[in-house]
Amino acid sequence: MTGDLKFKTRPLESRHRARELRERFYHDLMRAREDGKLLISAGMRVPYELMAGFGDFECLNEHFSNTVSLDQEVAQRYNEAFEARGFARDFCALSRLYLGAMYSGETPWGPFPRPDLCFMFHACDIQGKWFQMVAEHFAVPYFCLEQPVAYPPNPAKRQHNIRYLADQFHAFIDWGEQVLGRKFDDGRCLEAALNSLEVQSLWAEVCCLNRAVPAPLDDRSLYALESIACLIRHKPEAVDFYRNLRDEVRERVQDGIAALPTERYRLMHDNQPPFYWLGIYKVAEQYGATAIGSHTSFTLMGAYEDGEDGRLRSRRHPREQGMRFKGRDDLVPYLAEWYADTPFYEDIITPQTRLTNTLRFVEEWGVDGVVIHLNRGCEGVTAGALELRLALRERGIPATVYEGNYVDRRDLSQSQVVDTLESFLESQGLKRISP
Amino acid sequence: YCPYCRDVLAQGLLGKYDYLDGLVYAHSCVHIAQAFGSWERHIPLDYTYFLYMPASVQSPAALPRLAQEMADFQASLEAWTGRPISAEALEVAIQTCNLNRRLLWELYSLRRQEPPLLRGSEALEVVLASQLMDKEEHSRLLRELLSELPHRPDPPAPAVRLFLSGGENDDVDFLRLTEDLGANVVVDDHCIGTRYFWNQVPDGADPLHALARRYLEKSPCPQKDWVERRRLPIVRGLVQDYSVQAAIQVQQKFCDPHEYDIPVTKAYLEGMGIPCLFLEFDLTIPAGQFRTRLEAFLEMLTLDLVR
Repeated sequence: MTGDLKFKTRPLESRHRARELRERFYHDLMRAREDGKLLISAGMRVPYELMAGFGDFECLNEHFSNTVSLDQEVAQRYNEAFEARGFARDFCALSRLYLGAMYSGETPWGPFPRPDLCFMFHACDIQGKWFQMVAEHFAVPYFCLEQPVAYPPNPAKRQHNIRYLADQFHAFIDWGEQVLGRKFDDGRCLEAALNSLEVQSLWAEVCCLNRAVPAPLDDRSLYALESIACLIRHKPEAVDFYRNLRDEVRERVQDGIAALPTERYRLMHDNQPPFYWLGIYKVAEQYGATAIGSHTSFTLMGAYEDGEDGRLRSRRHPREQGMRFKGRDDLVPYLAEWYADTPFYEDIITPQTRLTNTLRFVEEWGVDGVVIHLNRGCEGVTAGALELRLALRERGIPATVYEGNYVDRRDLSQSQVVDTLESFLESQGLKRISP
Repeated sequence: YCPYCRDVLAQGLLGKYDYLDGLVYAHSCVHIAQAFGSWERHIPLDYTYFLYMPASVQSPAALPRLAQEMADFQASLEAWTGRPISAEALEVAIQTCNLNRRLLWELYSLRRQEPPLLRGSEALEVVLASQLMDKEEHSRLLRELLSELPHRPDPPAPAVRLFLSGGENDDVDFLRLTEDLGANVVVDDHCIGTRYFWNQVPDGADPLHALARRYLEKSPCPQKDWVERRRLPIVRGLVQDYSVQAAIQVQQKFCDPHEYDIPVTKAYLEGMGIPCLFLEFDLTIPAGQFRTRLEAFLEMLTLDLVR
């Protein structure tokens, strides 16, 4: 293999810090009550900024299922607990794990915690129902926001949606004051907002740095690093983490440090990978193919805007711009604007915008080929996947698909996926360069 | 994924809708949105429109958002056709649709009695036709049907009274199968049934607000039935009003919101003493297997009823 090394590489320091923060998160989550914090069951895209206005809280969100899926023995126990209650096994795999754990009354870190309230941001078809089930199980209050859609994107509809979101945000504040019997603290909300928006911007900046050749990060690392934004983006330690990460990645780009020293082919893995089998990336790496990111890893937590050069860049956040907010009446609409512009959810619902955005990633990140995961566990992201393959092929961009499930191994055949990937890479003129 | 959405798209690709000038999609779920997107890409039409329908129907914020969307849609239609839509014309259209809904409700009322005056398969055909035909013509034919039904020479025989619950179901043959086996669907809770016509556009000074209210307050699809469950009390009302004896829960494979609701609805119905049979629909339906399962279910039920 030594003769095939083109680039220098070294371990990414920030991965260790990410692991520490994740472990700390689950530790804090299980101790939330003892520490006098609110404990909420919520979606990872809910505005934590608003929740922070009611005091310190810890949140058990969908990321729980991603984490649990790493141990498929535990995961299957939760799946079976869920399916034994008569629920189908072909729907949202994240919710099956989460609800299965809830019905089992356990998590890998202790008993499944009873939340003080449930809070969701409904964007795909199941999210409103999922947390309704949690709220009913524990008999706790539930508030659900909705992510509106503007298709085709146009400025007038965007304004309607911003107003719609702002109205919902205000309604949440009123509701929270009522059910929690607490006064909403605008100052805490603002501080959380400044953190959260900076984190989303920093994450986009990190993803943009991955345009470099060789790519300083691979997709596997991106998911691990993104998880901090999914869990605690409103906290100051998340801001510190992403500032340090951005600096480290910048340094790697300057020094030509590669995630994969044999990089000769830049791959995009569309949709989330099978988290319990990240060895899928190894298959590509044996051929010198680096997975440089994906629509999901770039957009789930990343905030972008158009730069002067016509390329995407990280969205400028309020701290960077020195913005001042007089109070809730100008902060809430501003937050609504950020959430209205979430490409991840909009792209699930409208295939044309997903094609546009993915093609942009392919072009701007210098992608040579795309592997699309037909993810049975997430129909929302997968529903338009074959349109994507068609659009890529029409533009001469090689693309292949494989079928699987990101958190349930029962839907994936490793040997078939390896065959598919190897055939695809060999069709690209690549030869295996490492065992 | 969703067999219904795939089929809609497939029919478009096969040219079965080549008579269409335009296509409007009201946002209901990811699958049908993707089918709409694919249609736009592969079957170019003169006019397409994505009508955003809030899922958060219980939120007070949804009414102004949907009313705004209706106004945008009206403007878009006016621009496309080159013809303005006056408030008077809108009011007439609302009354035309309301009349049709009321007549369908009257038709369904004839199924409350024992035996009902029409079969489930016949009722489904009438509702299906109302989704396809000119409303005024449909209402005229429906009035004739309503006057003729009390004198029909071949009324349905007494049979096990079934409730059909689930997502969309346009499978008339499936309902005929239940009738062949000594049952009759007397009422339903799905998209080509009560969920389509049960409530009317309320009177209101602003017709677009009134329209928006109608769509937000209608019997909800599970995709929109949160935070509070509003579907279950509606189910209870239908089951009681129509003297239902048993329920068939049908589900289009991969329809996640219904998949969430099925165990909950099943427990709810069983709590009311209504036995349930669950059947999963896909692009192809295993008619033989369904027949066996239905037979077994009805036999069990008949024994229970005799006891």
